[in-house]
Amino acid sequence: MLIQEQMSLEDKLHILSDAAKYDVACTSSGHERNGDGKGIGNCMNAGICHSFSADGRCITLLKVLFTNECVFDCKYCVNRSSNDVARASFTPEELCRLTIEFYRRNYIEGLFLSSGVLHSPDYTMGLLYETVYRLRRQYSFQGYIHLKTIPGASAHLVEQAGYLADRMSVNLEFPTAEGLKRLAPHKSRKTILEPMRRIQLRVGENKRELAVSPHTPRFVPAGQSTQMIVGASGESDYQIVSVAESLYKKFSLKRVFYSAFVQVNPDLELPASYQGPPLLREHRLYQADWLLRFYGFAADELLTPQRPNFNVSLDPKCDWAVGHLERFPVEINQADYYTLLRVPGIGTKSARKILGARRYGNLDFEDLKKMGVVLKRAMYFITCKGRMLFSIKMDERTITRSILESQEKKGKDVFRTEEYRQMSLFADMGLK
Amino acid sequence: MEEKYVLICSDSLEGIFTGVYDGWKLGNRGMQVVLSMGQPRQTEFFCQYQTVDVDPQKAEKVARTIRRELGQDTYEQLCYAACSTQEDKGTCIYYALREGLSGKGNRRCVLENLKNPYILKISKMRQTVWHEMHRFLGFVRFREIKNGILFSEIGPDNPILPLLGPHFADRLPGENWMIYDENRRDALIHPAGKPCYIRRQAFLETQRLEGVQKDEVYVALWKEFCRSISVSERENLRAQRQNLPHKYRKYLTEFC
Repeated sequence: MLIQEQMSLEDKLHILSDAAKYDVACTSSGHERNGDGKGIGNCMNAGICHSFSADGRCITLLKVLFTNECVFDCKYCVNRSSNDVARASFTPEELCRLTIEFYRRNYIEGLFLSSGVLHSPDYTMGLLYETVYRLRRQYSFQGYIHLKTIPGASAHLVEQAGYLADRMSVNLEFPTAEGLKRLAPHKSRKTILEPMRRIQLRVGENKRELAVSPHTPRFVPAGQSTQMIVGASGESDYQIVSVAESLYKKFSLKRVFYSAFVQVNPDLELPASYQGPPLLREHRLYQADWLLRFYGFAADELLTPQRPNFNVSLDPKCDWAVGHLERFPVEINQADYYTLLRVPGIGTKSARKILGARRYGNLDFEDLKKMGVVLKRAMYFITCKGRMLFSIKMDERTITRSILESQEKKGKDVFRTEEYRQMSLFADMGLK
Repeated sequence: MEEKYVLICSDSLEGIFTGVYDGWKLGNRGMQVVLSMGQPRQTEFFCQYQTVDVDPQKAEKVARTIRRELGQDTYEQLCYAACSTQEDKGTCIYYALREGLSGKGNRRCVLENLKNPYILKISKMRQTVWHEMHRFLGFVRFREIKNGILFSEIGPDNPILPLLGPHFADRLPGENWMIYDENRRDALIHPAGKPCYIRRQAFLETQRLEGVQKDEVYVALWKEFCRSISVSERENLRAQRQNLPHKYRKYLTEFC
């Protein structure tokens, strides 16, 4: 398609935000920074949602591509070079003005800047750097900036940009190197993991420098994140969760995002999606992700190569708990924090509340309910003062069925499969 | 039977703390104390009523004691609870302080004692107020009116304007801005480069609030952005409604 010379800002914004919407990360959390009293902006550790779009996801940052022109030809991407779509590019000045004007109206928390690869990775990274530099220095913008690393860009460019951004990310795209090679021929594991490692090391050095001299400029203070596409390359949940775990452990990532595959290009290499994006699968992965980061779970506890995918009808924690009944019930008035966290229905907040409150006296089921523990799920796994809420057979099938029934009553579980367990003629009917 | 005293305080942090100060002596004599915000709707028998005038010195003494004995964190949590619209908030704060200062266990974590019904209530009130404040940190929408002034209207359930002040003053120090709480007719006003203050019972002249032309450009751009950022294959209006209830939408530019 022809590239128009004079395109209005509205058209550009339409094209370049539409092209950026498949990037999931839209968080502004992880870094607290007060304004300097002269410029504009600050950051809040908890993050702030400014609006919610029709897909129910939060709008926090002005999420745009610098340009959607791209020399890469990734099969799954709407902006691949072989696609015939309208192309546009911002200028650094346009993007700065837009960010500032949105920001002062309190529309957004900051800028999320990604880009297609124009000419070469270095050229594109240079443009991104110029934009962010202008925003920080010329406009004294102290709000949140999330910047994408362009795979293949030179180390010094990435490093310089890291001093201006709050968070940097480079998308892993697929959990297996084979999937990446097949679906994103211009990217490789090396061009993705190398900058990730460099940023990680530099953040570590920066922390040590900061300990010595507190006025050192901060390098990527809100850490790194990445994103994986779910359901495009035939990978299993186990593979995804294991990769996420090693990214957290070995690359000290702050977040791994999962993006249910949305088919935008019909391609032989890609699975056809008749049922829409695999949203439930994505949801289960996020639940597992939280278990990895905050609940002290390991990927191997949740899934194994023999059982590589999540249960459709039970969340990963419940699923784990009914499979490990030998560790239950736990006594609320004695169990430590991480044991409490393993109980379905008790999250980080209620676990902390329990620890705080039980110093003042023994807790009962009534107290737990008022504190926000979901007794509907927790009751099978806990005792208060040595007693369970009512006597239940501690048996995997009974508990699973009760939990599923209570979910169903709430009308919550739309995905419920007809029968949880495969019936066996011999065992169930007493035939021999 | 212990006597019951109802102290009628003004609905503010200072009012509550003054009430706590006056109520303390009564409590020491073994009396039951109730802090009522404004005149109670119904009067009771066998119960004494007493109006408490705001006394900044008494309030400051109470505030200082809380910060010293129970910690800054407890003090901040009580401030949030004091912004609540619950009628018994004063009474809850009074009894929570009696519990905290009576010296059982670690005083600084007194608000963790959720077995105590007053403290549990404070924790709920704090959560409600904090949550609403946090929502409005994102949901405030400024529009540019004459002379480059940024103006915003909100209608929160709780009086959260004082809680929004420090955040926006830090964020937009060089702008003249104003947030108007239409449920209470209070205005939070920030002149560029100066600290912000609250004007009670502010009267707005609507014709002076008309937007400038430049503003319309950005309103249109913002609406366009909110439309195109949504992935249509994932449309989920239920989740959107849950995260962003309709009562907030009338203040949001993108839904108008």
